[in-house]
Amino acid sequence: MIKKLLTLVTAMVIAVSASAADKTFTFLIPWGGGTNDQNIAELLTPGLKQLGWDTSIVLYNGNCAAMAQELKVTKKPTIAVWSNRDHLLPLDHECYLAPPAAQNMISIWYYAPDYLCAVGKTAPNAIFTTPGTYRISVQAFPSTLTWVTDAIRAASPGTVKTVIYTGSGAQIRGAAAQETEYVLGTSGKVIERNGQAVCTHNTGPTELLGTRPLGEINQSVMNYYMMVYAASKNIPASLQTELRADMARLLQTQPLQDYFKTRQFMTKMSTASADEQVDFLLKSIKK
Amino acid sequence: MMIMLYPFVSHLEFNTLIAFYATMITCGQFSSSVVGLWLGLAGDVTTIPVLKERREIINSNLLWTALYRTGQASAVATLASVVMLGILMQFGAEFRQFLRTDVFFVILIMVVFSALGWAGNRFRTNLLLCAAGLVGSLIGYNQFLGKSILTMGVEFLVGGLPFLPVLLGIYAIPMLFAAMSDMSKMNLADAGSVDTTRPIQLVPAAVMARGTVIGFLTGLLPLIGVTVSASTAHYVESKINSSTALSRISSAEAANNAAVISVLFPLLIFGVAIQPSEAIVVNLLTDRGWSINQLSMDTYLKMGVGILFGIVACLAFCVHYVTQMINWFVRYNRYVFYFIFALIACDVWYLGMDSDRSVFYMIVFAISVVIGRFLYWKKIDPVPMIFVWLIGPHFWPTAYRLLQLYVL
Repeated sequence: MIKKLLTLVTAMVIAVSASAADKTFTFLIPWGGGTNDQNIAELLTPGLKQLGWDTSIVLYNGNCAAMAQELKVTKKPTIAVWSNRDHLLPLDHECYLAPPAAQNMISIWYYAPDYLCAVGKTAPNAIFTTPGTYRISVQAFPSTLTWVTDAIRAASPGTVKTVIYTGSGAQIRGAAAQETEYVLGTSGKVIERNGQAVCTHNTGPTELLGTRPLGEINQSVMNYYMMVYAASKNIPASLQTELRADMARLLQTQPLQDYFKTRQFMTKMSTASADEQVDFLLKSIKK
Repeated sequence: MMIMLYPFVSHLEFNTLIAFYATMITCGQFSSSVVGLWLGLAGDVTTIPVLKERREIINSNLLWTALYRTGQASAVATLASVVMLGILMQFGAEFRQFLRTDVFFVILIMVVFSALGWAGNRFRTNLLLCAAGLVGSLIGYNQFLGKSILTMGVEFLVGGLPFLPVLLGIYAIPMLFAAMSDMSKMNLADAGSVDTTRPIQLVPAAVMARGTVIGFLTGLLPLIGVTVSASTAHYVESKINSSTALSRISSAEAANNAAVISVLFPLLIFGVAIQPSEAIVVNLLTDRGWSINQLSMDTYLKMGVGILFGIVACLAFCVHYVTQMINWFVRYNRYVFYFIFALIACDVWYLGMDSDRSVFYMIVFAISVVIGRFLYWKKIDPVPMIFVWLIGPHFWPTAYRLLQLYVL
C-alpha cells in the first residue's frame, strides 16, 4: 500500500507543477491556433515575461459561449481578447459580453476594415458590373457581416451567394484553392499579398491601401472596422495601470509592429488613454 | 505512449513536438519488432511478419544479424520517408487542389468508411460507435447554429465534452490493464540465443527501397495504412524469388517505419488525425496554437536528427538490455502500471486546471474509464468512435460548405 501511495505521490509531483506569482494572468482567446489573436498573445508573451508578468494562453477554438461563460465565473486574473463584432450579438445570446469600461480596458490591439477581394481570375469589379453568379467567402457566425453581404447583393446585377468558412485561415485556404469568386474579410489583404486575390473595396469610411469604401456602393456599410481588444478581469487596480502601460509599450515594439504591418492592421489607438479607447470601441458597435 | 508522456510533451513547441512524435513512434515500432524477434511476442499487428520469420531466423542463428538489419532498415526508411514527406508537403502546398473543400470532405468520408469497416468489431457495432462519436462531438456550443446543443442544461458542457479525458478513459486505461494482464502471463523461456560473432551484413538497397515505397504509399491510406504496411511489404518481398527471411523482415520493417511517417501527411496538410497517437498530437498542437501546413526546415532537421539518434539509441539499448528490461517489466509490472495510471489521472487534473474544470474533467474521466472497461469486457474496440468524434467538428461545417459551394 505504501508503495502504491509513493508512486501516486511521485506521479503527482511530476505531473502537476504549480507556480504562483503576483503578476500572473491568463489570456483567454476565443479562436483557435494560428489566428491573429493567438499570434499576438504569443508575440507579447516574451516581453511581458521580461517585465515580470507570468502569462498563459487558453484557446477556445471558436467556442465563444464557453469563453463567455468562463469569463463570467472565473476568479483568476484574466485578460479576455474580444472583438467589437461580438457586441453586435443580442443580449440574450450565449456569447454576449458587455463592452468594457475604462476600468477594465487594457488595450485595443488592432483594428481593420473588411476587404472585398476578387479571387483568382475573377474580374475585380465584376460583382457590381456584370450579371452572373458570385460566391463570396465569409467567416462563420458571429463574424458574418450579414448587412455587408446584403448590401453587396443589393448592388449586384448578378446572383450573390455566401459560403461560410470557419475562420480566416479556412478562408485563405479556400481562396488558394479558388473555390469562391470573392472573399470578404480582414484577411483579404493577406490573400492579395499572396497573389491569390485583388482587393477592391473596404468597409471603412475612406480609401485605404488602394481600395475604395464600400459605402460608395451602399451607404449602410460605411465606416465599419473590426476591432480586437484586451480587457481584464480580477486584476487588481494597481497592477492594471502597470499592465496597461506595459502592453501599450510592447504593442509598439518591432516584432508586433512588423506583424501588424504585414497584415495591414491599424494600431494607433493602442497608445490612447483607456477612456479614448473605450469611446472609440463603443462608437464602432453599430450595425 | 503519447498519452503517458502528456505532462512532459504538452509544453513543447511545434517543431520539437512533431519531431518528438516522429522519433517516438519510429522507436516504438522498432522496439516492438525487437520484442517480437527476441521473445516471439506480438507487440501489434505490424510485428506479424517478424513473428512469421522468427523460427527460420533462429534456426539459422541469424537473430543478431536480423536485429541489426531491422534497425538499419528502420532508420534508413524513416529518414527517406521524412525526405519524401517534405517533398510531398511542398507539392501539397503548391498543388492547390489539396486545399479544396471537396478533397477534404472525401478524406473525411474515407475516415468514416474506415471507421465503419473497422476490423476490430462487427459492422453494426461500428455503426453504433460512430453514432456515439458523432453525438459526443456535437455536444456543446455550435458555431454554425450559434447556440449550444445536447448540453441538457449543464453549464460545463457548453465547452463540449473534453476529448482527452474521454480518450484516456475509454481507450488508454483499458489498454493499460490489458497490457498488465498480458505481461503477467508472459513466458520468457522462449527468448532466443544470440551469436554475436556472426558478421553483420547491410540490408540490400533494393529491399529497403521496396519496403520504403510500399510503406510510404500504404501509410497514406486513412486508418489502415500503418496496420497493413508491414504485411504488404512482406507479401511483396516473399513473391521475389531471391528473397530470404532476413530480406522479408527488413522490407516489412522498412515499410512499417515509412508508413508511420507518411501517415503524418494528412495530419499536417489537413489537420486530420488518422491513428490514435496522432489524435493526441493534433489535440496538443491545436491547444498550442497550431495552424496546418506549418512545417519548416527546422522541423525536418529536428525530425531527422531525432529519428537517427532515436534509432541508434534504441538499437544499442535493445541489443544490450532487451532481456533484462523485459524481465524487469514483467517482475514490477504492477507498480509500473499503477504509476502510469496515477500519472494519467494527474494529467486529467492538470488539463482542467487552466479553465478551473479539473473536477469536471475527473468526473468525465471516471465515467469514461467505466465505459472503457465495459467495452473491453465486451471485446468492443472503441477506435471507430474516437475517429468519428475527432472528425465531427470538421465534418458538418465542411459538408455544409460543400453544399453552399456546389448545391445551394
